[in-house]
Amino acid sequence: MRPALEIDDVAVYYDKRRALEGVTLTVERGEIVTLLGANGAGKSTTLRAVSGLVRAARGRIVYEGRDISHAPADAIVAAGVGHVPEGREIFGEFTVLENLLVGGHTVPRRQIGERLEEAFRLFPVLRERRLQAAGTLSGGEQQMLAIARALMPRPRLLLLDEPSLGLAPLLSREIFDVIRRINADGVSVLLVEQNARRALALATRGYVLETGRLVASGPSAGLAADPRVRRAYLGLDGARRGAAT
Amino acid sequence: MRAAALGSGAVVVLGWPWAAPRYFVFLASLIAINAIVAIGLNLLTGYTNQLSFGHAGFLAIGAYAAALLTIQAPLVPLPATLLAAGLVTAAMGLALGVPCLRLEGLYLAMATLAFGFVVVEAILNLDWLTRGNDGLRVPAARIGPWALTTDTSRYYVVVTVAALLILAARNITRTRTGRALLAVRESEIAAQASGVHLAAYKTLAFVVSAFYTGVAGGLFALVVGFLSPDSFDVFLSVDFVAMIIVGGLGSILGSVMGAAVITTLNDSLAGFQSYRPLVFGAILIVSMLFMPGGIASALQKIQPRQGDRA
Amino acid sequence: MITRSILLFLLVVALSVSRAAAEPGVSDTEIVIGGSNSFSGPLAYTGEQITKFGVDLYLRVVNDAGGIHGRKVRTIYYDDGYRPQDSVANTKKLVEQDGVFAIIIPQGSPPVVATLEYLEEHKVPMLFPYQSSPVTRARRYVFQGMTLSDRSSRMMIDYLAGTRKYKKFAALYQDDEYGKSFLAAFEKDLGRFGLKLTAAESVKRGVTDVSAQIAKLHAARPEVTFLVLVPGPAAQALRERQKIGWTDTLMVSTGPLTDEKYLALATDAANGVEGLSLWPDPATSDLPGVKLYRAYMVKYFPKNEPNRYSLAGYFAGMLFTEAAMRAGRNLTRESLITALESIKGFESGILPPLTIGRDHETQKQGFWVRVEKGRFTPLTDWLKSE
Repeated sequence: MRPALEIDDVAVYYDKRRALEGVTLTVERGEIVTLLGANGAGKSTTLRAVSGLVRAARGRIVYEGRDISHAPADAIVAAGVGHVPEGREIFGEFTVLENLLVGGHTVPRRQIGERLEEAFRLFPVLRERRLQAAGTLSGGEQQMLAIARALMPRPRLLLLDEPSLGLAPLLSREIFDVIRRINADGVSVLLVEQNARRALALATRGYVLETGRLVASGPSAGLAADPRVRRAYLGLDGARRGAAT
Repeated sequence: MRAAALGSGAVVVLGWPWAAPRYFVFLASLIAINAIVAIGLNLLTGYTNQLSFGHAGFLAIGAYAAALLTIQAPLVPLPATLLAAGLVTAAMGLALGVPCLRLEGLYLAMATLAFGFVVVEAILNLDWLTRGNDGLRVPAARIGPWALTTDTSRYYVVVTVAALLILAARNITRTRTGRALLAVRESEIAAQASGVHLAAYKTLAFVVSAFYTGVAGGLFALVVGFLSPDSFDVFLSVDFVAMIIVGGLGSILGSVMGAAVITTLNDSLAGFQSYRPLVFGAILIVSMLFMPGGIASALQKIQPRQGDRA
Repeated sequence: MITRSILLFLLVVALSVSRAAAEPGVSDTEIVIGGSNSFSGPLAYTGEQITKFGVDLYLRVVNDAGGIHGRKVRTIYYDDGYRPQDSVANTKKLVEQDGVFAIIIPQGSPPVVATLEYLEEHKVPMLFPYQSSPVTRARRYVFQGMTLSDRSSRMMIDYLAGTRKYKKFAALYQDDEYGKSFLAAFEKDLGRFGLKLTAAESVKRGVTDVSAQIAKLHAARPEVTFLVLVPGPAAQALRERQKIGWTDTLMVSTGPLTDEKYLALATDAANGVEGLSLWPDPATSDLPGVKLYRAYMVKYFPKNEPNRYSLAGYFAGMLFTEAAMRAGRNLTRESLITALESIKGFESGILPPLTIGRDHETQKQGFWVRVEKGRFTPLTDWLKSE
């Protein structure tokens, strides 16, 4: 069986500016893999390239053995890739329910009810708030909504972009628990996270990006022990966070 | 509170012709027509961030389609005529929307501006059909046995159609297609990540916007009774944009308010003659400076309501 | 909320009931007339001149002399920018809100035609619309202003084919009601002499490059080339002709075109051009009425140069005053119409003695001019169009 995701020598340019250069990584089925790096290193771009929101100028992106490098975003969603974008990007003026319904845009109509049930089972608070405007939810609830929305088409690969950003420690722990549960249901996860310590604790393996290039990779434990990673991303030894050298 | 406001609003709208001076019945019809255009334009600009300076062109297509149909086939009932005007214009919206997908911001504004000019040129060149510069007189439309010859009868037709289209726009989130369209406004990224085909929905926005404007064009022909290419100049397109900016981008209530404000403003400034464009421009700039989110957001600030998507 | 809107509602009702007068626009002290016109858009200059510096100029003279049977005349104008829907809105507003007695000197075929049926239906007189298409003819509530195209054509063809014995005619015309109504009239009048147009080329409105049309007309070698255009393209046509050295044709401008603006645009390319002039030269004519017009202009609007447009508006104001005087103290819309129809041999000191009668036309004559050193020099006395 082919891995959930194979990214092979991918480059992405915004106009002429290079955002990714020769990135190669793999997510095995059922695995949680984390992508570390400073702001602007290309983490979000990697996720966007996978879900088809930006186009790779070079290289191949293969999902479960299918080349999706040139597939349109809606086809990638339909194929089973879910994406929780950076900043959550919930539809603030929609109700919670309407947010989930947009998430189910590619789902056949008769299955919508059952998918909504799943979402509400996973996040009971969303059921309570289903008729409330999403913009009025708390930060944690919005994040849950963003994840629940991405889960509506039952993806087999979930791309998570900074799910704990701006959340209180207690809440982000809750979100991480949710990720673990989703993974336990057989969903492979590619996680971009600023809280490197927690991400490495959750993931089996990790990759480190610097200005669009991979500079390190390996099992989480190994990365957590790497002095460069420790200094740059784990905030140890008094180094400034995010200032990769 | 809301039901009461709606109820008294309905009473005023329905009772208007019996209470207001006659001219204001006509003016109210114009406001309702412009409100339909503003909602249509807002579906495009407010929801999918596509700016159009060519909606006078769509209005012209709808108006001429309805007028020619009324002349050539007087037996076609008015609702069918209006629907046909909307559909013809929607087809033009599709034809314009597809090539415009590649354009953004200023370039899109230029392309739609050009579209407006092309429509006027087409009306001039198809003079065997449209009577060109001489203008086209539109005979009174009929609903069954009644000929719509009074301002009051036309007013009721216009407000009925406007009410239906407002209702449709407000309930657009009840359909999958409508939700996807609005989702694009809220977040293009999240909409795409949810599997919404961006290009298709941006084009759809053009089509729906053109449909609304085409129906409004049919009503315009009915109410004004005379069409000429001079009716649909670029300033009319600019007026429509002003309506949604003053009213509030992406807001249906705002579209209606913006249409009311700009139409009334234009009407009351007609007496200022040569100073009209100057006064109009000044008022626009001032209102944009002090009310950047339009009337809709100013209202919301005064009276915040949870989850209201007016 | 409900009480407030009901109160508002009642207020509106009260306001609407309170306005009910005997004859709209006529009170013990005042007569209110008005019109929709171009104060912005392509014809803004003309619109302003015919109304504010034309009609209003004459009415200021009248009001300062005590008004019409003790009533001062007030005018209301609204801008339509040449847009028919705005002229419809403005006209409805004038009739229904301002309650004007009559509509005076609206401009341009589309805005005028758009309001025709409405005004007839409400029996409101439309006085002296400033446009030349015969679409406004034979309507009880309309009195023509500008000489209609078929009358102009008759004078022009009678003079050129009859008196001057020209045989070969061509036309460069604007592709709209104005141009086409002239074209049709030319064909008809030439037919009376057993002639027809050798060539006709059209110009779309708003287009200024006419080189292709001039080249085609040149190839047809007409003795006379009519210019049925507006000042911009007409001046362009003259310059183009000068450029290609086309000298063996007589360029002739129609009545609406023969004005100073067109001369100024064409400069020396206009020399030798002939045309039908509908008005005596507003700046130089020695006619007593025109001298008086200039004196009043200096008195009331010293910064405004005399011109044909304001003269036309001034004349419209004069005709309205004459008719309202004749109608007497008991002025109604119907009595005004009767009074206008009764005008016979009226001496304006500007145009030849005027008889309006049943045809409702107020300007039926013009005279022939040739451009010499940037001015129109008369070649004939007033021509007949009957």
